[in-house]
Amino acid sequence: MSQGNAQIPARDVDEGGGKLAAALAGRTRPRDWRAAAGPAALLQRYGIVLVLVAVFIVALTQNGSFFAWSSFQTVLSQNAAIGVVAVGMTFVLIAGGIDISVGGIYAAGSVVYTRVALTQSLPLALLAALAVGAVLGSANALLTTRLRFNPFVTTLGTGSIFSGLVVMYGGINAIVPTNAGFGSLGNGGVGGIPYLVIVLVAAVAVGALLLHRTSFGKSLYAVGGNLEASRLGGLRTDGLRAVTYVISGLCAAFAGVLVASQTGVGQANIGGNVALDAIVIVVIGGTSLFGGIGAMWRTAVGILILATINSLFNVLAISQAGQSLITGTILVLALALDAMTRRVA
Amino acid sequence: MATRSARPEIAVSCRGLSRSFGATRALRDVDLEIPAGSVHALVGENGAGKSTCLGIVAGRIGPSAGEVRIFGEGFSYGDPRAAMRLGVAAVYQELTIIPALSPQVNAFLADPPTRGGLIRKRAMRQRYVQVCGELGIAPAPDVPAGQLAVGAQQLVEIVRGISADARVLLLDEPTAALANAEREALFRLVRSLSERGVTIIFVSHNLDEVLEHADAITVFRDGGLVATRDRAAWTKRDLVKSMLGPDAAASLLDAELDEPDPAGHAASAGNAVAAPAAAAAGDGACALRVRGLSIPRRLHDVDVEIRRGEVLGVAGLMGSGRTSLLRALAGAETEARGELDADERPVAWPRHPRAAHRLGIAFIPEDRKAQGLALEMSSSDNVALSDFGSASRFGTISSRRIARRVAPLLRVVGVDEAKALAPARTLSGGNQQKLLVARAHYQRPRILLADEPTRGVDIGAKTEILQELRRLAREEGLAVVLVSSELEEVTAFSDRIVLMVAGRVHETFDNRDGDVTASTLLMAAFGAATEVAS
Repeated sequence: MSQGNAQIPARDVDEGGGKLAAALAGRTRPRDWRAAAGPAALLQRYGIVLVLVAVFIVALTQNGSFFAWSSFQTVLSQNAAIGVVAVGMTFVLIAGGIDISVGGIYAAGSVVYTRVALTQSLPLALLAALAVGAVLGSANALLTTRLRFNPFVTTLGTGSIFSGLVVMYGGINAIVPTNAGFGSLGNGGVGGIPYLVIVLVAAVAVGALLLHRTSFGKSLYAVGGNLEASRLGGLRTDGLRAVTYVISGLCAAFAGVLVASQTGVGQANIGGNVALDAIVIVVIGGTSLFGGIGAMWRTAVGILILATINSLFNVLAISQAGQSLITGTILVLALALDAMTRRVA
Repeated sequence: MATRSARPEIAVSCRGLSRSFGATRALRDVDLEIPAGSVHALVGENGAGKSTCLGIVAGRIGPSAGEVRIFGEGFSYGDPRAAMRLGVAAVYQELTIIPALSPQVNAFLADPPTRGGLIRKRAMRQRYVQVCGELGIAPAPDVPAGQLAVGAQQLVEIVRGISADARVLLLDEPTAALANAEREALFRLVRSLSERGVTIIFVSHNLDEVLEHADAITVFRDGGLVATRDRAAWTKRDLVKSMLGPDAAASLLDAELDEPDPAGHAASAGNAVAAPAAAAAGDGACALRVRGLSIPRRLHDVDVEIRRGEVLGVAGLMGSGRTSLLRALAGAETEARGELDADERPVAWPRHPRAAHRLGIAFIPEDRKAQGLALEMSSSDNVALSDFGSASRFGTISSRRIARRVAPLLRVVGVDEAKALAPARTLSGGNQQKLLVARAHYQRPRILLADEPTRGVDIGAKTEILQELRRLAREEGLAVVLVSSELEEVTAFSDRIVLMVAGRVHETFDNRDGDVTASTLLMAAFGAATEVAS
């Protein structure tokens, strides 16, 4: 007789039963399950798009020119950096981890980029910043996979360490490089489209390709969905999870570069809300905090929702305290939805 | 039972007790009355329902139907604390010790002596030392319980049950981890508790122990109660026969097995298929030769030969080391030490599942939900899970491409292709298990290890899975190793059978003529278990 958890029965819902019933009894937002296209299943799967539309409508009522191309791309540009962090975070979450240290790495990217730019060319500065991001991500990878530390607490700790190191390296004051064209990445554009928007779209596209169209990406879903099954199945579980932290580190450092170029300065104290915002974006979209479930298009929707809400904050002149309260509430609601759908399943 | 009155009070009464886990009926319509102050043993094969029955009485599992009364009182099912309040204490097979806490705190975990909400540490210690004294064991109250030997931890659990002043004490295989001296001390205590009026119900695989210490014995089979009789009315042979059942005994002992009967599929996995034909199997070359395989405390010096073209059955009671043997071969046991020849060439023992893969070993783990499937991924993704790379083209991959690629495999194992893109979670247990068989195909192994491939699977799927395993051996020349706690499956589908007892290979049976029966195995296993115990 098997004991304990093994005895909890599975709800077997496929045999002869209606597909709608299966969809209702199952989790919302199933991946790759086009067979179950009942209205309830569709609503559960794509409900987040309705939320996005609702947010757009509210934005439109507050600001009639919201959809004017110029204002829309401004909103996107302002959220490009955090969007890039969220793309990296998506990989970590789907593989069953979490990265709280992205704020520290983000600050490191900004400070390393600007300090190296003081003496070197911009491409070299960019490479230096990305290298630092990869190294810091590798440190997270080593601790969480090889040494099996809990990822949440580990990256909470390393994030604090990284932030401290950044201040020691760059000082507390803003670093202002004077290279020609330093601000063009953050403020320029081509054919009327800001570079930041292009970069954000490219990051999402490359992320989607990597996640959904390579065996690496597929394997991340397996590792996040069932670590032990993946290990016994012969996947390199440690290596796969490690790579997600390196990707997250690279994305966060690159986002720091973007924001430095955008503002014209490198600063050590800019990482504060980055982890929270990035996680909010990914989780709002419907990617699970517990791994194995999610998609890159969900992160794109999350970016649009958060970007729209941020622009509403500005239009309505909501205080910093109010913004913090609303963002936090949205995260908790997204988690509640995730937990509820899991309980149903 | 010095003071049993003419009409003894009933301590535990079960009426119409049933419990299903998914499609599996673990317990069906059990009526049982146990008089106060008696020592009652429950026996049966693995999965017969005895632990489920115990679990319901302990309030750990809720029944699907029926009722339990403790001294005439009902309680809210599935709530261990409610059962505790009625005086039921349970000691389970797996340890429920909290390793970081001291034994005395563990012993009083649910109900520590308190005054004004604060724990009275001194009173707790006194009581603990006193109970240990009664048991005749060393108390060691201050070491973290996790540092004690397994046997000592088990004793702490028993102390927990006793110090709760239980009226009904449930023991699930209490002596499995105990040395002889501890075992005797335990049964002395059981007797003295019973004389004080405590009712004791215990599950055991050791039939000698049962026949020596129980007042009455109940046999379970396939979730149902076969018989309850006083100890004097049982012999060891009766017990084994009742555990196996007349059907199994008849069908297995008679020559029925030699006649394949398509209509018999519904009857049981065991007799649905003809016994292995002598011609095809067993003469294959040695795919894996295991010598001196040991895992500390679990496997001792195991030698096994696994041959191409045959199914090697591994039988044994729970805890005999069946699963450990398979996991060691699959590279899932880092502590495994031993020599391994693959195709007659010595190779390093696989220390990681990937290393086992390189040797051509595929593994179907025993717990498909925890160890086998990523339930949110689609069926076809789960089949391809161990190697998505080989389904990609120019470095790109898609779910549809994977689905097309694994579709033939789904056909082979009998999963509807329409389910290829549905999450594995939505499939029935049988289909989920078939996905794991399909994955084993996908890996193109030379050796296939299947641990309980039919657990919790309906009878039709059971037969299909077992037939497919045998086909892989017969037609594709794989070396297949089958572990199952259903002995009828092992005897019906294996060419050779290794019987494991207490972490050792006890005996190897040649079953090419299909003449090894479940009762042979069971008698050998119980006989040996008794030898080891005494």
